[in-house]
Amino acid sequence: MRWEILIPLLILGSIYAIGWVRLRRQSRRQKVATRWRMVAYYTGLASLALALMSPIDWLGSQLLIMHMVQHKILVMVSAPLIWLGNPFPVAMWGIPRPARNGVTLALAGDSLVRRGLTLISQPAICWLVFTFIYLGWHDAGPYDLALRVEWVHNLEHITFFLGAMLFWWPVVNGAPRLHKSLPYWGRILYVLAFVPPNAIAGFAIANSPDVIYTYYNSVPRLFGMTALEDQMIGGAIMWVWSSEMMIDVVVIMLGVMFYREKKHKARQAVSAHTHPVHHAGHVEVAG
Amino acid sequence: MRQYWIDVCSRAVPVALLALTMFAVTAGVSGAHGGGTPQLSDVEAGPFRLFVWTSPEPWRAGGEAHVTVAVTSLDAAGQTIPVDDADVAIELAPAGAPERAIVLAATPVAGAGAGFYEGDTSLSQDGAWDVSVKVAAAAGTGDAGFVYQVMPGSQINWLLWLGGALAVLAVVGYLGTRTKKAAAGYTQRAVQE
Repeated sequence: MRWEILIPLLILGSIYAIGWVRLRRQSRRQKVATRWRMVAYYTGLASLALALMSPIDWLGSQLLIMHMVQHKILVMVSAPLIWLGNPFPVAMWGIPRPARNGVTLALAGDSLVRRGLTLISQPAICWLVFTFIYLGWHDAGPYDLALRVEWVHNLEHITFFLGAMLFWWPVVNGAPRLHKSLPYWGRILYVLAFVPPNAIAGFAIANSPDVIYTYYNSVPRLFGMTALEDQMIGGAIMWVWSSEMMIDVVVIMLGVMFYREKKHKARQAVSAHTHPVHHAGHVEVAG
Repeated sequence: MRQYWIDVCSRAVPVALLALTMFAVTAGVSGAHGGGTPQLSDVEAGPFRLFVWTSPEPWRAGGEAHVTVAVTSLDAAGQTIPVDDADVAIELAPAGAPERAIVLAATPVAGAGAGFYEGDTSLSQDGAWDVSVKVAAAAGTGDAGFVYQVMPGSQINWLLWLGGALAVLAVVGYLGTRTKKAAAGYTQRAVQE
């Protein structure tokens, strides 16, 4: 049992559960703690458990394919789902009042914590930090070292996850909101900008004529494929999964944009119908 | 504060329990993390091909020493297949002192595929150690070994340092909060006056 992972997950899950119930008791109409957000949050935590505690974790040391799958779950599934759960305000209601006051004070006004968070949560910095972490760990040296040394492996997973949380922060526009929200077109450009570096790295790994991650030369080939074939499929997973995820996000963003536009037009139409005199007057003035 | 805990017990605990159950089911929990420093790779040992990894890196006197072994053999077509009915013994002895050998009966790795075995121990002294892996299964017996240079025990207690750093952070955070509260109270009084 990997208690070092299970215990933090249980604590995070419990705090959210307490906060969610407390908020729901106050009002069922509020939009902070909704059912779909709870499902998103717990699915995110469950995906973390799946990536770090299931046989995927063990198989990652035997097959590059499984290691890539593990990383994709951490950065492309767990992180955005946890953000969608709106964890900050819900968790605030899940912790005791003195702790809540402490967090509020730490983030209030011009505090050091707030300034630090404001600095690192700028969209350009979020993007750069994540891309650097993501590509940096895929270099042969750090990657092989992570497979050999456990604490480096843990560091790799922690930085992947935290980097991904930073990356998805402006996209999901999660609380605490320390900057003006990115417009939807801005979020679309933000995620699309990640496609080329990811695709180049994935393509290079998939098409390399040599085994890049030599650690996999030292493991038994129990699954009927050579280290090179494993690497080819692993690189393709990196390339296709992340690019596909970004395109999914773009489609969702476009859908939200159209939905909002439609709603806005409908509201305008209702307004025009309800206040025709005002509009007629407006036309006269304009004319 | 009391009301908070009443809330927690009466309403939130069932939800939390549901969440815990979900984790336990989803995790399918494996104790093994995998990886380690390869010491033997595809080495012939009787009818078997052995792979051995050690972790953590490096082993230190008085610290944990973990050994993972994969026992495989080749089928008629030359494909590597796992051997899952093996008795695997790991013998560790300081160089030149075989009478002080520690023998571990390796157990199958939980949550991993067939053919993987592991054992844990702690080594009492630094310097060179002879490590040998002995395998017995229906197909026969075999053994292979390597020499590991164990490092002196760590002089730094990282856990203590981490705990100390967290305690300092907590105190600084608490004092910072108190200072802010005091400042807020002073401003409020000044406004009222």
